[in-house]
Amino acid sequence: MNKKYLLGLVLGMLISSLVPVHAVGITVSTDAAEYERGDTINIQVGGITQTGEFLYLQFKDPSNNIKWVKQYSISATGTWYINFIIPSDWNGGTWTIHVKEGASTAVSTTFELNVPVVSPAAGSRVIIPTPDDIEDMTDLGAANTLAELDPEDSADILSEVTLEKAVDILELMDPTLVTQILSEMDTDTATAILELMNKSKAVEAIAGLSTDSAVSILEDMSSSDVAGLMEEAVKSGDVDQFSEIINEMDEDTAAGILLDMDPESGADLVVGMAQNNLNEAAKRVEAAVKKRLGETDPAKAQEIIDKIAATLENADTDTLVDIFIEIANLPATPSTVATVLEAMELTKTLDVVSAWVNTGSLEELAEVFSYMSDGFLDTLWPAMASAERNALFPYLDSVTVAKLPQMGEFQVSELSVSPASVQAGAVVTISVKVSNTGAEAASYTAVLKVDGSTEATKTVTINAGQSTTVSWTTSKTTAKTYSVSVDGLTGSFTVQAPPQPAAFTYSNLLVNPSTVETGSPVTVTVAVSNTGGQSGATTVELKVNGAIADTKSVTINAGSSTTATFTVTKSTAGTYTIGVGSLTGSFTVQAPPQPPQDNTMMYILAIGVVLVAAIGYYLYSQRKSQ
Amino acid sequence: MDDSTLVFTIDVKKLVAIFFLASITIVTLYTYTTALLAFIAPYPGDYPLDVTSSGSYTTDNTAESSFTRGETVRIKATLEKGTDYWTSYPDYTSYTSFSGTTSYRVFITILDLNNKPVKFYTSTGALSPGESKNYQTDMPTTSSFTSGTYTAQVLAWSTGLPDGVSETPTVTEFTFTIS
Repeated sequence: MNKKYLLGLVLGMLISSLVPVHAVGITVSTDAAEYERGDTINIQVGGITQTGEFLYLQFKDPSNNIKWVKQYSISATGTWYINFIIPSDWNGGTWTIHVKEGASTAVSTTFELNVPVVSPAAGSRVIIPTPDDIEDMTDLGAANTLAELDPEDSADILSEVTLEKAVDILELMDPTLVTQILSEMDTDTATAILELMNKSKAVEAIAGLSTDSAVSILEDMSSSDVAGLMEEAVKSGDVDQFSEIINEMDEDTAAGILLDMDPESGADLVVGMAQNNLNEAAKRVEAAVKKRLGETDPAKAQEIIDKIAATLENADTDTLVDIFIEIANLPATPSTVATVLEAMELTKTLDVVSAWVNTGSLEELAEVFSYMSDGFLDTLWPAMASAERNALFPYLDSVTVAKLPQMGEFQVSELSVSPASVQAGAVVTISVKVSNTGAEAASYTAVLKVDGSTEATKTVTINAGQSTTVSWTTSKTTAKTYSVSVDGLTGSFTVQAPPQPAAFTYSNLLVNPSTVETGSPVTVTVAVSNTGGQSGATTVELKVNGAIADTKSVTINAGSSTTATFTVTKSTAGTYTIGVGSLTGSFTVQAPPQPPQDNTMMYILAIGVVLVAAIGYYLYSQRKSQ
Repeated sequence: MDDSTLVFTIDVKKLVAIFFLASITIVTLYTYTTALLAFIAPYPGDYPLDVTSSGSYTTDNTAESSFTRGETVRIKATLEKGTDYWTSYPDYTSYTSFSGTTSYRVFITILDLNNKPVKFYTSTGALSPGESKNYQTDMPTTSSFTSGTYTAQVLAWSTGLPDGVSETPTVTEFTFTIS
């Protein structure tokens, strides 16, 4: 019997050993251990079984940067042979090939890429210049010369010339080439060059580097210099890449950079960091807040808090909530969030708290509340919407609940928005009636939201049974309809586009009469119309023969007209041109006709003389006759 | 006891033998069954990202597939995360609704007419459902570029190897010529 059992056992083991119970996995190898640029590598991938899956292939350079990838759909099992030509710009050293089938574990192999140093042969067109040659060339000539060389050679040469010369040359080169050259330099030299380079050029060059290389270089630069580059990167739209870089940097260094950036750019970067890796972003924001702990001067510590608060205020509320929740979940850090929320504008804090309540992460928010100061809770708690208070209250611990301000019973009604339609920039008054329906005097904070964002808050203290009107004024410059809400009451107002300024046109130029005698007046009239959207004044200039002869000031309402009248008198005969604006006319001045000669006096005088003579003669003849 | 009754006498040794043989049989059957199921399991075709557009452009962003040596070829691609996908298998259809943010590494590779790599670009990003992002890289065609047809490929993985897996259902490929 024992022999039969033993035989059965052996047979069973033999049978089970023949069963192919598991796939062995893929293997990878190359047809040689060493290659040169331009060689073809034959990569052999064996053990492929997962038809319909992907086969992944990846090359990493000696610095562990990804330099090439390929992806194949697996159509056949067994062994695959993949040929790959080594590019002429790949660096020498040990390269790694990773291969992976579907979601299985990747396998890898390495090969050496030999880059022989070749002295230029006589008559060769490629002559490697010395650093002195480059110093003697113009910047553009040097840039063109180096562009023809291997980046490694260019890096060696530029490392030997003056820093300023190297910067001037690199700024003239294609950013891709600059990246390749910087990659070949030692970190200190690359850092020194990037610190001096034009920021936009430096950002382009850094964007081409691998994340690891970029991190190494940026960590050697001063935080203010890196902050400047980050601001440039934000402006040029490279937020994603630089967000990844700063998320890879040492937390303390990254925090210093965030504090050195302007708040708007810093906010964009923080949002990008959160999208890239929320946890890493949260750690760096937290590190920035904790920088205050290293300050012995309370004023400087407060400056740090105010700076990070100003930066975060510019980030969108949803991202901010995500970051805060992540920070709150980090070990022993809810107090950091409480510190920032206290330093931020109350309106932004209210928006964050409101959005946080909506996420349902109320335990984290309650823990943050437990670290808030009594004074801040006195302001924040009444300003929250009652629905938000009710949602959060059950999660607050007894110590925090004891610190909350007493809340009266209030009723808000009679929301008034006046006027309902205004010009851009005009003031809109919003008011509500707040009634204390409780049994004792209490304070109430009314929150005004415009388009869903908290615009302002106002706290009033009202005796029991009394009411008061809470009013705000606001003005908006963008033409649109704005929604208004105050503690659940809603309304709206519309801002209209500003009217066109006054614009004046002239028409119907009349010159009357068209012909006058010298010294006679000529009346010139012209219609002036205001075709703009606003009332306005203008000075109408009358030109006679091109020279301003008279002016009239007129004030005209939008869409109205008036007539400007001028009187012109000329003592010299001739034709005169009249001009008002682009309108022209003319009049003619003539000399007056000679008046007929009047001899009456002469006749009277002659008759008088004759009469005197006759009387004299009569008297003389009478005396003589006596 | 009548003639139709069979009587088995199982002593301790027989019991041990039966248990041993039964164990081998169960292990063997389990191994075969799981291997068979793994072999016939449907291809998991649900990928969160798609390359919704890609192509070659001039530096003033005009679509162009023919370039003269000396010009700069601008390669552009748009990556989008869908909100949901239907995936058809031979015997059934799968519906997938995506939520949350997908982080990825996008690659743009360009091969010359001899399949020699001439340009490689990579960047990382993250997309939420319904969101899309644009990527571009410029390739100056210096005197070393030979005339012919060049092939550009756009693909996105979750990250680089050894951990990365594809985030798009296919590799997007297009060609352009340099004369």
